[in-house]
Amino acid sequence: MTNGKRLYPGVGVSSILMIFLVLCLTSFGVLSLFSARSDWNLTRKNRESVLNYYAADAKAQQVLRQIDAKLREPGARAHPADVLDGLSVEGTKLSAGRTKEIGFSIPVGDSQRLEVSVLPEASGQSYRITRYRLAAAGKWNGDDRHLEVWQG
Amino acid sequence: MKRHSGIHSFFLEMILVLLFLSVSCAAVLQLFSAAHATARRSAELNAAMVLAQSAAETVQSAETPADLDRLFQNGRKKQEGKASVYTADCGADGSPAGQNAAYRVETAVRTSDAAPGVMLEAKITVSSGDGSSRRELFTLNTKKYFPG
Repeated sequence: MTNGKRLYPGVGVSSILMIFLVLCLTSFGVLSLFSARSDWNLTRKNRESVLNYYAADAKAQQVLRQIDAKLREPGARAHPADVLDGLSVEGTKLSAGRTKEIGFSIPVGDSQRLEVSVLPEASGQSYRITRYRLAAAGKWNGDDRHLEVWQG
Repeated sequence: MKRHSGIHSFFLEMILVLLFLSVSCAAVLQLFSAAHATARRSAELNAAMVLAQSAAETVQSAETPADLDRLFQNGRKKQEGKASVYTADCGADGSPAGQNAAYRVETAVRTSDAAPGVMLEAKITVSSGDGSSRRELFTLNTKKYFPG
């Protein structure tokens, strides 16, 4: 640089190394920031999902309480499923199936719902929980989603 | 004279390079610092959610309201009005910790008479830090109904 060849006036090996170093540092910095931001977005979604689930769970417990109270009413002891079928409790509609189970579902966010079924005891005094699970809210329709599979 | 001029331009270039490098490093450090803060916040919230869910499921696993004392026996218990507050200190990995705990899980449980049974309402708060620097990370509410 001093006496020999010059790549560019005023630009020597140290400048090129410095530019390379700054580019590397900037790339790593931006990548780590993007990665951290993505993690944070995922954590926020997880937080919403957890809060939604426990809110639905709390509501399900309130509905169970109302079902328990209804089952203890004198008129419901003989045919509990008939009495509770179609009834709206805490804004949730109850439905009775052929197996005498009383079911209801509570939305958990946009894509899931909490499905609960209870079977009234023969004595009519209480119930037994037969289903308490998370399920997809909508039916999956794969017909309109063709996968491009390599045929060989 | 020519050699003297070459050394002069070399030092001039080095000064410019160092100047630009220091400015660039300061900007890049800001990027790394922001990334570190975001990652730390994310890790803390994740850990707090796991601890809160663990406490919530402990409440849900109770067969009777009286079971709670047994289920939360690793923590301290105090009475605040009608609510029983179970406090547990946890390390960064979620294991029980005495001193220098990274997280504190407070489970305030209130039993209400919900005829014909009993409704258990729990408010779970996970916080980090000590004393005045304690900050709330995550709060979860859960309920459990016990048929009469």
